[in-house]
Amino acid sequence: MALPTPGPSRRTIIVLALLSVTLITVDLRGSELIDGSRAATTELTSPLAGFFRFLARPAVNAWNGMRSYEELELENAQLRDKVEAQEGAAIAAEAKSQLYDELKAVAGLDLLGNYPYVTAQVVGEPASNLQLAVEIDKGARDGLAPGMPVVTAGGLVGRLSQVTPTHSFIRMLYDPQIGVPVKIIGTRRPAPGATTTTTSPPTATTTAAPSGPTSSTTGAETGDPSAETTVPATTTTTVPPKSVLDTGLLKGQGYDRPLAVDLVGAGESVAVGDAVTSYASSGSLFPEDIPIGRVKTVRPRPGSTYLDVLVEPIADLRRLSFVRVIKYSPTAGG
Amino acid sequence: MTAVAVVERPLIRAAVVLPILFGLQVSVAAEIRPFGVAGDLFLACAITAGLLGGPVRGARYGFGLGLLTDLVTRLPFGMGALTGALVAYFVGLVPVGAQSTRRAYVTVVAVATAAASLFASVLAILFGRDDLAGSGLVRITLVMALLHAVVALPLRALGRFVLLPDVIDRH
Repeated sequence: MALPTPGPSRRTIIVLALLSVTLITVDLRGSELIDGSRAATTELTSPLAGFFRFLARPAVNAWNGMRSYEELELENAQLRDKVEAQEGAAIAAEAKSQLYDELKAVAGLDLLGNYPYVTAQVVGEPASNLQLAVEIDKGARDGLAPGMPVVTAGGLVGRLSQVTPTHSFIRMLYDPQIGVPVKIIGTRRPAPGATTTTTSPPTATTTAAPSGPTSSTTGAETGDPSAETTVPATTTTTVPPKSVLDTGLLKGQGYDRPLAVDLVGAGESVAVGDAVTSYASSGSLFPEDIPIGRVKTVRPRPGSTYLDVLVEPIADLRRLSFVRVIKYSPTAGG
Repeated sequence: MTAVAVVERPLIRAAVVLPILFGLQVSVAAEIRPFGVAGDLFLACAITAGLLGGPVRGARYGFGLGLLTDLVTRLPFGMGALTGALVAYFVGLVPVGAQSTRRAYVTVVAVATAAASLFASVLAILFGRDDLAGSGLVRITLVMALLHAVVALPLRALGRFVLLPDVIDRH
């Protein structure tokens, strides 16, 4: 067995390597030709990809069923609990309509009320392990444009990075190249170590009746102080008012990692569980008040006046099927 | 051009096989993800081309397959081409090919896959995309190597079909 001739062999690989490096450099600097080629490839191959996905669907479903049946069952049970808890919280909040409106705003229940949107289906997982963009089946023909925010029923998942006539790509929140202006909403508390000279802030109070059989008739209601009454054992919950604690810039840290919020001042009383929503600052690509997640950890950053804040997103970024693209333009406001 | 002439041309056979390969990549390899990791059939084919066709032919096929990967993914364009060309070139220098034992062949494919995965991460860092490299690298590398070891022998058969008769004069 003769060894390969070193001359032409090395020349070939050197030429190919240089060509590749040139292509990478050109792409990183931004090339319409490359972007156009990719868009054209997506358009050309999408029918073929759709056909093969249709053929492979039973096998993929069987695999997913095998892999995550128990996980899904557990998740279902947890979701049922969550829904019940939310329903309960909403009923309790109705007692105070003002408080309810505030909670509703914080929870982002009016998320899509003001903006038109397009529902799209995620057509497939990224083809590469290093790729962080997700492809959907709607594009420019449906009125989509790069930069539009993408949400699920839970909250923000990312924004459109590239749009072809019939398909688009979502830059996911976990992509380190995305930056979302956010605000952190919570209860203002004294900062650790700070001295407080003011009195405690005004609080709202809601009263919820406990479960179980109780009489709701009281002397005060009937006007008869001698009436036989059973006074229910009421539970009083004091809900401090929520306010914007600080704003910052949310950045991804890679697939399967929590999101990080930069520029949160160390003096702010951000705590685990505080809500994080989008903030329509000047130049932001996102409308105000799209829910994003809750604060997972807060740590002082050594040698800095900022906090290290990590956020757990509400939307399940790893398992998307349908998404909504909000037709929002920062200049037009919607 | 007669039917025989068409079948005897490796590039035409490759053109017939490529759409099927692409379909399998987007429908099966990208969707069935053990431990969250997808196999890369184009990379596995580049390695096959190197093992069966030798360094020069392997590098050319690896470059072409890598370019196709670059067209359908949103990673820096050329990263797949560079990875494919280099990995195919270097496995082409290894004295393992169409006639080797299955164990040796599968082992080389697995090792080459792991090396290519690590190399792609290094490339990402070199080109300022270190965000692409750090997330679960060890898991991705190991699972990809395993997945490619599983498909190595079927791809060798496919490679023989595409590259024949070029396989004969590999070294």
